[in-house]
Amino acid sequence: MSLEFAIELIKSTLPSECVLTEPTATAPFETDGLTAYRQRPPIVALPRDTNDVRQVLRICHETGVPVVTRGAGTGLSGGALPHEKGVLLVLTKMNRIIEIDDVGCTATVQPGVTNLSISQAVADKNLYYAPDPSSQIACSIGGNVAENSGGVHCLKYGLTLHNVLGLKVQTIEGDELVLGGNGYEHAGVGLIPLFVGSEGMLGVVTEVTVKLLPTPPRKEVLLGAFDDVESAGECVAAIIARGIVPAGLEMMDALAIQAAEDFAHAGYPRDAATILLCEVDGTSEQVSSDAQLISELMEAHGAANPRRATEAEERDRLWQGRKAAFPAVGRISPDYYCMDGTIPRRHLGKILARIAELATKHELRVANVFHAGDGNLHPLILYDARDDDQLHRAERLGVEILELCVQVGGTVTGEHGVGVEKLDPMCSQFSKPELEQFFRLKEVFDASGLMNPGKAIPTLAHCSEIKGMHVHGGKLPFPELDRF
Amino acid sequence: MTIASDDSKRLVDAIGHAVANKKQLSIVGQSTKSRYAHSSSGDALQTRDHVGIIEYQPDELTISVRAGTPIREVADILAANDQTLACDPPRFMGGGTIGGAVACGLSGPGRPWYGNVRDAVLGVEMVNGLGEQLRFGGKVMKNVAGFDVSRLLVGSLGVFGLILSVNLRVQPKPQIERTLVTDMEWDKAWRAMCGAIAKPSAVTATCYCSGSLYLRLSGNRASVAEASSILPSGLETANDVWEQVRDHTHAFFNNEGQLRRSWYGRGKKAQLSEDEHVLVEWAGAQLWSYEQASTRVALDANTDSEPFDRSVANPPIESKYVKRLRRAFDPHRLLNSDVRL
Repeated sequence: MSLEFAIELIKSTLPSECVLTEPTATAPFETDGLTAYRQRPPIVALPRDTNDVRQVLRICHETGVPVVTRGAGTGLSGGALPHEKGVLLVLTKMNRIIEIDDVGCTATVQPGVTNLSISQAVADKNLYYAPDPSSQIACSIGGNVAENSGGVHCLKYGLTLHNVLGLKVQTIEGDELVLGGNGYEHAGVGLIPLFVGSEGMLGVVTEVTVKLLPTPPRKEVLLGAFDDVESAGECVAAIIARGIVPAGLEMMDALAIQAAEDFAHAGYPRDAATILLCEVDGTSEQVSSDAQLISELMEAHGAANPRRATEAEERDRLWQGRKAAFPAVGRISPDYYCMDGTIPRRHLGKILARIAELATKHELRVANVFHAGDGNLHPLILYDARDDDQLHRAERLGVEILELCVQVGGTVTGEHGVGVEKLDPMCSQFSKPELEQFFRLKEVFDASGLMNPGKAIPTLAHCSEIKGMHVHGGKLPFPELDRF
Repeated sequence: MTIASDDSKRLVDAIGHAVANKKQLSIVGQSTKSRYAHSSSGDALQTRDHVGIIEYQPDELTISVRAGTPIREVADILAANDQTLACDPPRFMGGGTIGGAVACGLSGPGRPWYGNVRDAVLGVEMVNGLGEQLRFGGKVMKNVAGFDVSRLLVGSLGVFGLILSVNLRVQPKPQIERTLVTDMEWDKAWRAMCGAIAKPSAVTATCYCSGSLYLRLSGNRASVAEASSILPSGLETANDVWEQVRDHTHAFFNNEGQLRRSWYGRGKKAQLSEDEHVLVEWAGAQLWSYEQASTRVALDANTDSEPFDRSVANPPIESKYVKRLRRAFDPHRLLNSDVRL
């Protein structure tokens, strides 16, 4: 009843080209990057500006209709999965670069601007935006903020959080929060960390000011091939112990190497158990000495004759294999399920061995791609979705891998977010009082629980269902509402 | 070196007792930042006995520290492994605890290059105003599970809860650190400082005071030598100046009157006349002044400013949500209840 009313109100408020309700028009929005979950949205609203966003939020607030915010829809955890009785608020029309300041090295943009287009817009000024999730050609900066996206350069340049200076956020109550700005500090408590990575649960970001970095004058990529994972892991530790913070440090296992090589022909050694890709950047002198030292350390840990790529073309070729690892794995298996746990780096050997054991137990293959610099592990579980049992085993294996990550002091999601996908493992990572604290934080900005309900934070009921956790019933207001 | 001791049980019990009796508590570390973060009414809850390194893995670039541990001791342990904190919080009067550094969130002169305390925090263990012991974030660089409570605590002055321990990023210590100084008029100095943001260089701190521009260069021998060309007329001077600016022992901070911080957007220049008594750091983005000496500092729309003792109010809308946030963590308003955010 209220949904129909909300649809009518939105239709009478936004121009017709900004509202989609026909099933053929809304079909492309039924899933994001996690395609196993699908839900056709009853209405898609495409606001042109902040005022349109505010109008849609006001209507949702007044009618009590849920609202799910979506950027480019490249998210990998189902965070933008539509609500069956809600509005899907798609921000792709808000794709204007508002201001570029090449003296202060900042860019202020609307949320629908793609990650890569920021760097492209400032390339002629020798600047760039550092976080580079692999979907950067398509993903939007608003989505990056919602997920606190990473990429391959996080160890040195940080996550989205470390590169955002200011946000404008619209709350469902109709307030605009202006957080930060284009400086480093501001009066008052800093709320930016609460909104970065909040997966659309607290508000809608309508403007983002990011920090731009000077393009490093020199880069070099090194490739080392190792006979076993442990040696490669020790090599990583040795590089960091010698005081080098590489711009990128990636590891791939045998199955991932072979798949990537067959697909991208990057020139990876097909017989290696593990390869390490290491990028250093900076001033010419710093890069020379760092690259020399890394090359020596690779050799000392058993990688004979590391390859050194100094020219852009050769560097790109080496990266191409790594960046194509996911589609490459997609070629050797009908389906794959990408995990996103993070572990303290020193446990890598142990974890990979355990993953191999678990894979054998579930009779599945796993290819491992690892952001070795920051401990973010992407095991790709190979399966065939046409076989229900394989799908079930793949999901089971995924949960066991994430539980393993939590056990060694890691986390269930490094950069892909919780969305709808990781609600179960969240119950292993957080206690009941911690989840309750999250609920109370959400209520601060969204007391009626309309912003992206059912995502990111599992309800206590959900956790008790999967692990027999005790729930104090009736403590939350509106217990009938589907929360978080 | 202080002997490590785990005082968490007493701290958790004290808050539990306060909750049961609806008694207010004032969280206290070493009280070195009392000019910035005032003590609150209620019994003092001391963190000074909750000290020690819980875990330090140099090759993971992380350290886990109990809140009462002196910043200096953490810095010393890191230095022994050729590492430093990935932020540079002040140590007023030479002291200060890690918990206090997180609760206050203040940054030294390397802020634009090394980041602030918030950037360095990976996770916390805390006690909220219900007496619940909670963990948020973790020990790893990448972690997007749940709301980012650990970084929200940075600068929250203890009103969201007592910080028990903190996991922080650390970084390799630069091989060489060198300081150059030269006399320069403000306009030229400002352009030189902006250049240190816009171009890759070994600059890791700037300070402009009394007509002199100071630059800190950090890195290996070659990159520091390369960056020295930014200030061709620069003379080498002692590196102590950075500690003095960070810890307010620099002569500038000996003035009477109300100390004020003003923040300028990156690329936004403060309009200063020649005889203005100010100290500017962060490539022009943070300006210190004393009320009576520099009432002429022109503040424009790109500027935010507050007295260092924080005797001003927040924008009204934010404060509505901040009030609710306090309630979400501390519904009975028992922790640092008089402290205004």
